[in-house]
Amino acid sequence: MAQAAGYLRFIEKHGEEVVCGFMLTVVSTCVFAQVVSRYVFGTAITWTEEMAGFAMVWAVYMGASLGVRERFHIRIVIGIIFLPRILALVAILIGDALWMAFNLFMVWQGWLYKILMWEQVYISPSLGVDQKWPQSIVFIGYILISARVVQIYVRWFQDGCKGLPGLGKEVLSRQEEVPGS
Amino acid sequence: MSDMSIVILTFVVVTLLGVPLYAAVGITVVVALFLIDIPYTLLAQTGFTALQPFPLLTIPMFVLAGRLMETGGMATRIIAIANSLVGAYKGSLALVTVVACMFFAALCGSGPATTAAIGSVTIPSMLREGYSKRFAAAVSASAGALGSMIPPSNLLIIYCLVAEESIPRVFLAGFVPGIFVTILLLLMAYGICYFRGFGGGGEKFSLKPMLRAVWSGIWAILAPVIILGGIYGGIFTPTEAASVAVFYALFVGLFIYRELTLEKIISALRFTALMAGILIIITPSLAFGQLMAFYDTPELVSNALAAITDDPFWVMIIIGLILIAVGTFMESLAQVVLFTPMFLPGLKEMGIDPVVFGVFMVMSCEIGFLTPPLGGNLNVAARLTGITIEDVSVGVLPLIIPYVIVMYLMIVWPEAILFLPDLVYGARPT
Repeated sequence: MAQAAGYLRFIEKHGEEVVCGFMLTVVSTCVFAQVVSRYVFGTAITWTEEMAGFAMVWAVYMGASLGVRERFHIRIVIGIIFLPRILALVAILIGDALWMAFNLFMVWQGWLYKILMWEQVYISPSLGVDQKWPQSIVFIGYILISARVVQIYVRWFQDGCKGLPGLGKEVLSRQEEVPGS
Repeated sequence: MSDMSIVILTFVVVTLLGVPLYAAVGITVVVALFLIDIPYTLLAQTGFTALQPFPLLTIPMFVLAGRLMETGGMATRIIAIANSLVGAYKGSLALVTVVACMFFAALCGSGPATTAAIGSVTIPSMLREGYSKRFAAAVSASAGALGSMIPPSNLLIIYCLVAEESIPRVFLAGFVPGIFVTILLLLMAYGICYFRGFGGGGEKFSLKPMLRAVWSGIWAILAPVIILGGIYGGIFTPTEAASVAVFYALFVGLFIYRELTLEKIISALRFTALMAGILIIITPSLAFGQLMAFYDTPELVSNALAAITDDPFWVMIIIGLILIAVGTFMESLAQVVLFTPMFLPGLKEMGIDPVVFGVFMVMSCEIGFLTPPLGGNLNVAARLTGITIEDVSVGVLPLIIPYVIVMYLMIVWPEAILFLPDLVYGARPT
């Protein structure tokens, strides 16, 4: 039992990181393999491109879920942080309700899309896998994201509703790296 | 109220409530889909397909490579080379920061990452030599923005995807403005150091130490040669070049400089993971871009612009001001994805080259990096010096001028940008 709890804690802490890191490794390795095979072995492999593309999408959704916990998503808080606490809290609650609604909406649409894919078989051109498996990440990803938003609120309640949920001091400094751009 | 104004209002309200931008764009798309009665599964579909294009893979790979090069010892060697080149002048460390950022920008496609890589080394030395914190932070932030202009550049890649332009061609177009900004930044930094009396000149320039620095940093210098040479030599595509950069960084960091550890590699992957998550913003933004065609937005925008003026010069000035204003609070990836389809069709009709507009757009994003409330480089530099973002943003003001000047030059003298790509790929039929 304790062991199971330990596993769960590990998954909570590092689950997305591990999957995302693995997928990023797959992306880099596949693309690099393409270069190596062309120049070293003189043959062109085609499935790597598709595989890298799938891994990329998975990496993004895993990273997005991780980003909720780490407060890494870009949001514009300038409109709220200068409000008095109670107004700011109301604004945040409304905003997060909308955010959550969108995530759940995407879970729903992801599911509908998955069913749509389920009815027909789309075989990917070079890997030969059924598209519904890699594409289910939209559904899975938004479930994970939703769960992480709920987690923020659970922790906030446990902490006695101090400050603003999901918006500590660190949020402003966390916006810092926005390393994509 | 027209459908279009409902859509815009939704976006503004939702964004101001602090909803994460990807969801704010997503909610806007849901409203827009509802109004013109298109199935919502479009969102689920772009949720997958928008992230799949092969060129997009370059972004996480270049971020990973940049991080590995930084922690693997290349950044410090690049700084040593820069020091041997410009270390002799007044305000030497500020000049070294600018030149080192220029070099590092050729390894890495991101502005904030360049600020972090070079600033984390040069800022502490500047402070030791009595530069003000505000100036040290400002120089690193402003020079770091070169990271997105000098190829490779993540923002230019996104632009190419949205505008359906050739990546190598647009990359080449980024060179001249990048070098130009570097020169202006050097002059500006020199001037400020001269008047404020910051820093002394280092050792006089001499060939021998320079050659020694170049030799010990040869593996760092080879990186852009391989990446860019590979792309322009037709050896590999930009995406493949990014993967080569990753493995090159691993190889050099592990076996030549031996500064990479497993821990550092894992932390680089973790950093890249967070950054990859931000790319989720592309999925609703792309759906939004597709929808705008249904709302005839590009036409509305160009009509509105045409009502004010039909002189391409003033149109570009107005668009430039809009983009800079938006860039102060908008995430730059989203800015490129959302605004390119809005402006580009009209500009093409006016005879403005999409390559020029891409570089112009990215330049406006760089000014956005340097202006609060959402300025990536400012935040990094503020963290490195321990002063507030407001403080850095005041210090950075004079150093934004070079970017504004170059933006202006792009409008009046686009040939300077097109010169290189036309030379390599031949002029485009107009």
